[in-house]
Amino acid sequence: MLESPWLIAALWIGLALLASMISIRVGISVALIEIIVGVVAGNAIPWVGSLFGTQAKLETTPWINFLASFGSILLTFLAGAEIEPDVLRKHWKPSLAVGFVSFLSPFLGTMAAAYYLLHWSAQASMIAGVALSTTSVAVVYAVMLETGLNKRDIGKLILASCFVTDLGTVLALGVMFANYNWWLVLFLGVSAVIMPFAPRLTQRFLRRYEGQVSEPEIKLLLLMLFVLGGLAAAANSEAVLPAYILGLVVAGVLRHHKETVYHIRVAVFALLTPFYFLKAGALISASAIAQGALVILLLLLVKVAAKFVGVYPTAKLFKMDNRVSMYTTLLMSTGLTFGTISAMFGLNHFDAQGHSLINSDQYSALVVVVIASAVVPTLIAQKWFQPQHELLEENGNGA
Amino acid sequence: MIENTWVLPAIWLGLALVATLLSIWLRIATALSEIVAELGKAAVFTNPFAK
Repeated sequence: MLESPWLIAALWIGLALLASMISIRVGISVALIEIIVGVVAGNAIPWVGSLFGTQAKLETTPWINFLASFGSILLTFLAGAEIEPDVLRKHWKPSLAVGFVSFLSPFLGTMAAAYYLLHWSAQASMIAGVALSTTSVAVVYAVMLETGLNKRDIGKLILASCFVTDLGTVLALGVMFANYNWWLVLFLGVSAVIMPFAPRLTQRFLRRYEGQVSEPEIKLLLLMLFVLGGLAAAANSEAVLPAYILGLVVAGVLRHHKETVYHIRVAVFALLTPFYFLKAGALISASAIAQGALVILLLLLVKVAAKFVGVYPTAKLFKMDNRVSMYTTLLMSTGLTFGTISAMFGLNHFDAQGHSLINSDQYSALVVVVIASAVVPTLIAQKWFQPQHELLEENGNGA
Repeated sequence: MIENTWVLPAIWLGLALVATLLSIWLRIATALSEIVAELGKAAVFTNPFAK
């Protein structure tokens, strides 16, 4: 209906502004609110249009799709860059164990549930497994900052575990759906060349050019992201895979250059991710939610149960007490960014017969489960299982 | 020619990076060096035999 790119942009940014205001008012992650606003706008605009006898909808254009994809890879890069290598090194045993089971258990559990109970295709079941195996670094990081746990051992351990879980998710997505051809070889070869040099090159740029208005160091990082993302996409893999790893690789360098990270963060949250999350919400069909309520409930229960089966005993194994084990399990049960990225990947990629890996009803169900898993476990963890700092310091928590 | 979403942005951003570095080394405005870099790209990639 709208043809002017400026009016389309005004509508999208208006929705993003509304989401930001709501998020600040209610104190809930802006990503979550943007998805919800996207769902409401995506379903309400056609309905209002039908009342006036016109075919209205929340327009997506090629440039909106590009900004949304750009937002997802830059957000993934920032998530990787949030991980402190020293923390990962210090807590490598518990974080590797907790992170790995936190990926594997729901991956296998939800994949089996989708395949055997819901009779989804093998590829759709794999997408379900990947999308529901994630942990939300964004939600967990926000909770850690809010409670001050990011400065404590338990908070650092949970964040490091999130990284391991999401790395499993991103690798699974990259490995299961990649084309095993020369593009993949080229992608791996170029990655093997760029990754080891990226920290030194970034450091050199930062030392020499930080503070310049034209931000050459940010352009260098973006160039590396685009080149690696382009090669990953050519191999039918996902551009977020190299973005996450590149983020981790340069994390040690960027932690001393907070201003540069801040500038990237401003671009990401002000301009790019609103398009990504609003679009993720707009693709959810309200009627599909109503019709698929049982599917949503089943997948949510299987996801959370599988996280409990995997994470709780592992946390106990590392001598965490009941409260801390429960808190860790609940936070590891959250999902948001990688869950929606995986679901969107399934919707936008096609099998050999030219069909989407998942249909729009399956997409709607998966994203609603992901959103529910971002809210419900976080609220329960915060309300009933928040660790007491003094107790944590005394016990050491096996970290 | 180029269908991959990330190839065109990579080329444009590569040019922007070159222009930025030139502007810093030559101490001229980035906008000016970006125009020069774009002219350079056009000179290299334009087919002189095309109508």
